[in-house]
Amino acid sequence: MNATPENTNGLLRVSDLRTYLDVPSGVVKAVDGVSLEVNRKEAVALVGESGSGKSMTALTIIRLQPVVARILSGEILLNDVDLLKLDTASMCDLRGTEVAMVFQDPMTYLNPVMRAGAQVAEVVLEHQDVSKGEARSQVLDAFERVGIPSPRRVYDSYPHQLSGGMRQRVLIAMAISCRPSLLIADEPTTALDVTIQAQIMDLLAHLREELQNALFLITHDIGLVAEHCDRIYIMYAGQIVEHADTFTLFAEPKHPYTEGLLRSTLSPDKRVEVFETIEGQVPNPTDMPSGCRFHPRCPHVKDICREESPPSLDLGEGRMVACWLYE
Amino acid sequence: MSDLAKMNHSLLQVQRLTKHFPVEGGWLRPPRHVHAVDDISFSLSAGESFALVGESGCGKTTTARLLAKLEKPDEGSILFDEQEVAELSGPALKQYNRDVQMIFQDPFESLNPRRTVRAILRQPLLNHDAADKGEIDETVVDLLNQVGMEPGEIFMDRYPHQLSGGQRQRIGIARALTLKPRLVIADEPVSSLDISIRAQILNLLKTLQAQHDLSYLFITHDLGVVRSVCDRVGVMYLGEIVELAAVESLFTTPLHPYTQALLSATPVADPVKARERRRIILKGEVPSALDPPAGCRFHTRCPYSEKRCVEEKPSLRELRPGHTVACHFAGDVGVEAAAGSST
Repeated sequence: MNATPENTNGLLRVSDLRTYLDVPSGVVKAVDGVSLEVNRKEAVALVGESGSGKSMTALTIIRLQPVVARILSGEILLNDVDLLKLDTASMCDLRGTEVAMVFQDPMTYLNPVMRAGAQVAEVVLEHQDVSKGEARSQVLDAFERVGIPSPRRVYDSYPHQLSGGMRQRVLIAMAISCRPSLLIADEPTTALDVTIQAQIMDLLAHLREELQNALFLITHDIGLVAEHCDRIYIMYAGQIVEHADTFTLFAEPKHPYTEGLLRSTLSPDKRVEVFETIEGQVPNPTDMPSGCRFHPRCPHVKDICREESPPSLDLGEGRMVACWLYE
Repeated sequence: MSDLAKMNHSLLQVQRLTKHFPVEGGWLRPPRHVHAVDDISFSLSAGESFALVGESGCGKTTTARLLAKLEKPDEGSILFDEQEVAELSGPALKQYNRDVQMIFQDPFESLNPRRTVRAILRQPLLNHDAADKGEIDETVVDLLNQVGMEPGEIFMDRYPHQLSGGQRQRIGIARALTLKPRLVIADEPVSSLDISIRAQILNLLKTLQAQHDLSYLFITHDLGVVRSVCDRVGVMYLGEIVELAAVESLFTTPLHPYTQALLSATPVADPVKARERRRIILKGEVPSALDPPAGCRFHTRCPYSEKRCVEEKPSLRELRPGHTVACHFAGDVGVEAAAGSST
């Protein structure tokens, strides 16, 4: 938005990011060589199961990774600024104004002893040179924008007085209050009921039209992605295994993991008698399999898969797959 | 519906079941009641899978707990094998406790972290004197093998924290099977599991059903699971059943506006279909069960609500064979058109 990069409409470019966590039982390679891109105004999804490292990727991007995390390598370019090279103060300036995040469980991220409106106003006051009165009216605006029915009442409410859906709206209002160009949403609707989930996803799409921000959606729910995102990255055991635009990925998944994931997803539009499964389970994070991390569960495993990690193959038209089947 | 013929084969019959929880009043404030389950009726035949579907707070879990005798109903009756459950005592009650078992949502919270798999699975057998002391270990190994934890011996001495989420749920299932039940109540059995594990557990539940001639009562919010796993469905909203139908009938011609909205809000794993379908985004949120709306409880959020809905409570009507719905306008042009395009 501010710094206009010359050629592209690229907004976020992450390359070869490695975030390792030191835990008592060893080293967890939570994010292991992740590269991805989000363009302006785009909705991009990062899909993975629990423990795949998708949330850690998001937290590293916004530089809120836990203390035990070490970033070993990588570059996170947001508007051509490398976030990993910024000092804490400049990163704080960027958070909120350029990139903001919405989390799964809004209760955990709201201060329970502070009124909802004041918490959002705090963000506005931090980033903008406005009076308290102006901040208040900006917050009320934001509340209205995120579809809170009685903004004034919610402004003066404590988080526990609000429903789950309403709390998530407050958190979204906080995230968009300073008009970030990138909104990262980590499982924003997982804790909510389906009808409320539909409302929130609808809201995120609406806001994107209005504010022209990009959305980076972290989720395990491939159904949600089908409806709302332009491109998808599939993550497994700390690595991106496949990337494609949404329609292509659903029509012809390349990676055996993606294929398995799509086949084992139950959708309300058809009845399935016997469910296809992915055998086995996600590997222990401190003890990853050699070679391709999916090989112990892969139906097409070959010798080379056990020994060497597959390269990220460019299949053209922006498609990527990391699998020896396509070498 | 041939009610008589059906009744003869019903394993479970729930009639006008009601449960209200009192909430303490304050100074000058009279005590009030949460209308958790309000006058619901349904039946379940032997070998059938029935789903109670709804969002949080709709009373589906309370219904499960009433059936498992973890709560006492205020009104209504539960007939199991044509016997009134509330009146059971002595050996008959003990038999009921064996016949009806439960699988819980979170396998970590429902397994004692300080007991081994062996101890967890032995306990019900000991309580009910259901196996020879000398053969208990054999029975336990056999159960573990049945739920896909093979060879069972190696899991016997593990603690729940040493197992993955999927394995823990398998232990939960094995525990429910120890006493050879006839009805298994599964309260969101797969919603805390990853997608790739979910399918494994659902396949297991289907296999076990065929092997042991089980009936299932699924309590769930996930309509994707319901379509593939269940035979009949009851949709609950604020303590009431608003629609009751065979699975295919419900999914192809949902009649209640709430069911239609629920279906349209459930993600479809197909980008083409997902973007083509008509979406109904409901306004607002579920009202408090402390003070449910008068008339039709859904009227505050219903896109088709009219004066009559506020004033008069709709009763369940059978609009199609075996498909009942509680809505004044279900089947009328506007409502039905919405249903057709949402599938």
